[in-house]
Amino acid sequence: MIEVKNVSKKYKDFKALDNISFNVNNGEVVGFVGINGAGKTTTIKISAGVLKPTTGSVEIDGFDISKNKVEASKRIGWVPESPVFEENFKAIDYFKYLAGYYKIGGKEAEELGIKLFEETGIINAKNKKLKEFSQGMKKRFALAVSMIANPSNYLFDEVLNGLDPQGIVFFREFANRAKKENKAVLFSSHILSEVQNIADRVIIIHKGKILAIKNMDEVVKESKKAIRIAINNPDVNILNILSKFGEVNKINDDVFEIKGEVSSEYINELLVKAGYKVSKIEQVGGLEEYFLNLIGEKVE
Amino acid sequence: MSYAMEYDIRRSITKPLVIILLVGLILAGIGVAYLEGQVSLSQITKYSVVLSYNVTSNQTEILGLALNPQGNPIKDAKIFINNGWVETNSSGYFLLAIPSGKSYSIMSPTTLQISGINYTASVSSIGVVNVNLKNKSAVLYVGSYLIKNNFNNITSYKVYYSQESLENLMRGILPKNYTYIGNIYGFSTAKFSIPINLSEPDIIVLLQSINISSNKVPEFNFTYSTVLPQLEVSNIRDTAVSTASYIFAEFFPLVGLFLTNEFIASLRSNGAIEFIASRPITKKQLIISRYIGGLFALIMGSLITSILMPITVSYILNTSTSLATIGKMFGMLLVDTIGFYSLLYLVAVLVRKNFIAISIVLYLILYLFNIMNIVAIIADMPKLMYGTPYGLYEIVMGGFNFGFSFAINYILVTIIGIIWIALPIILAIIIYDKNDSP
Repeated sequence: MIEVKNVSKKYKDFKALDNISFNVNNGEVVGFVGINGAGKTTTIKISAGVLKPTTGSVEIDGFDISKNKVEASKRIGWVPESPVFEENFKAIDYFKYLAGYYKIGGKEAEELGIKLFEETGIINAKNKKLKEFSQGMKKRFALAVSMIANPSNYLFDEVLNGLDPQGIVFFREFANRAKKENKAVLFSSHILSEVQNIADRVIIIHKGKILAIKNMDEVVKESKKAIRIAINNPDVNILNILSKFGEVNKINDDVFEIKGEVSSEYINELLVKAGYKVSKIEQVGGLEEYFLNLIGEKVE
Repeated sequence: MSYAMEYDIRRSITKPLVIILLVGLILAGIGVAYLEGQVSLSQITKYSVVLSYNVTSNQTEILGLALNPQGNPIKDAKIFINNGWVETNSSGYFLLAIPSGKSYSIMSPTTLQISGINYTASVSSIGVVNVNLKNKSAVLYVGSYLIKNNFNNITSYKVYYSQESLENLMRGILPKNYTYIGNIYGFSTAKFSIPINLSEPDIIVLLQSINISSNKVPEFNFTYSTVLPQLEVSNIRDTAVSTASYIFAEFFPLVGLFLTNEFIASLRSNGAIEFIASRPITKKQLIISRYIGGLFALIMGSLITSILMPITVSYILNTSTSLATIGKMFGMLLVDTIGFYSLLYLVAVLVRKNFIAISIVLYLILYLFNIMNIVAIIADMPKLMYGTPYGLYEIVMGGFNFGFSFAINYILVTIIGIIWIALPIILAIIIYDKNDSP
């Protein structure tokens, strides 16, 4: 369990975090979203014991990450947004070196490395130098390292960035497995559709403050849904036709968005009958809509 | 943490650059020491030409006695002196007369030719021959210095003798206690048997005039010094070892710079330290672990050098070395290398960028140009020479004094050495622990 309690962080005059508090419970995957500079990475780094909070505390399974760093760090794995290593090492050697901090050495460290490299899909690169790793491979390596002590808590910072579709699927499965194993997972991401798919709860942070902590069901329920339609041959009447179904937003010359609960099948049928060529019609909304509305309100 | 520290230690001592620098500096040191040793050994003089002077208002007479290493006079020898050749008589003597007002030149060592073969001979008012290291005895020849003019009439001297270390000789420190060994009368060369102390190769002879002029001119004292050639060999060994180790002591601290950059500074600069800091380790443990990793390479390097260099130099110069030399070199190399290494750790926790540039500037100031020596000379404060790790090394291993006359204060050396090693790293640990980020 990760407990963030009244954490603030100041860099000289800039307040990066302003008295934020939240929990990530065991058996729960929590998405952490916000625009760039909102404070996500700072929060995660403080929770990983890499940064010191100016005030407040973070407890990992009841151990304060600042005061009882060794015990708390054993219980948490961290995958940074852009992992940086001592890159002249071979992957397996650096893994063994880092395993040393968990008092695992020699053959045991090597065997564990091979096992975790297999799990994270980098076994074929175990003897490659880390500087030859792609960004996605580095994240998989960082994940393998974060799994050394089989911690009960994970922190993933923009974990989906730089991953190929296979990597995203891998992470989705990893998160589901962690959840089943009663582990707590906090992950930040810009890909809100994936957050919606993976997370049980979402924490929205903006300018160092928590704006909302919601169950994903609530988010979906509260977000204003819409239908997005792409038409190949729009004319002057199209806006009049679409406005009968709700508020119309012209995204560009041939893409339109209708807000509200509208049947996409019905609109499609009507437009086709009227001679329009509909190339795409989709439901939008959910977390993305919720997030943009929330942030938009704050910006205003 | 122990596994990780072991790993840091292992990789610090197996870094190719560390090994290359270690081997390269040892070989360079030994090479230079060998050359210096060969040159010095070739210049050792075992033949002596002992001069007596008779200075009058009209002329200066110089009576020379040529002696072989066994102390026997050499007859029919040709000696290059006063820009010309003189020849000894059947008793091994020659006489030069230089008119008053005309200058003359006595150079030592000079060339001594016996049956057409050239030898090198020392030229002085004293000569030590027939040195017996087993019985610790030698024969000392002393030439007189007569002065007869309107003011003085010095015709005899009391002869005193003492032995000193070369270190004190280099520092201009004269003996406090002399042993009276006899008198010398008239224009002659006197011969004395003396005991010798094998550990102090510098023989110092003091002549004190017996006759004092009626015009109350102060008493005449002459001090002569010569180095026992047989003991000089061991000194050449020490000098060569010192030369060899200077090269090492001056450049091996660069290994500390490399290791500090590899182990902490570059990781703080590129952010790689964060991933390590998220392991189950406190920041204090992290910096200590990394420091110890590099420290081991420096200790091993210093130890290998302290053993290998004196033994190799002694071997190639056909002399012997002592445990004391090895111990002293090891201790001073530790101060020299670890002092800088600790300082670099302090720099590494104070700055995140430009570590290498700052470290190189510090290296230039503290090692290559050792600015404290310059400050000591300008301020006329010899103790300032103790101010840097390399300065301590120079003072202890090489007897550097830059013209100042002082004996080595080993207590000061120890205190300053410990401060250099301990203080920067203690500060580095405290500051690093208080930093917000690793």
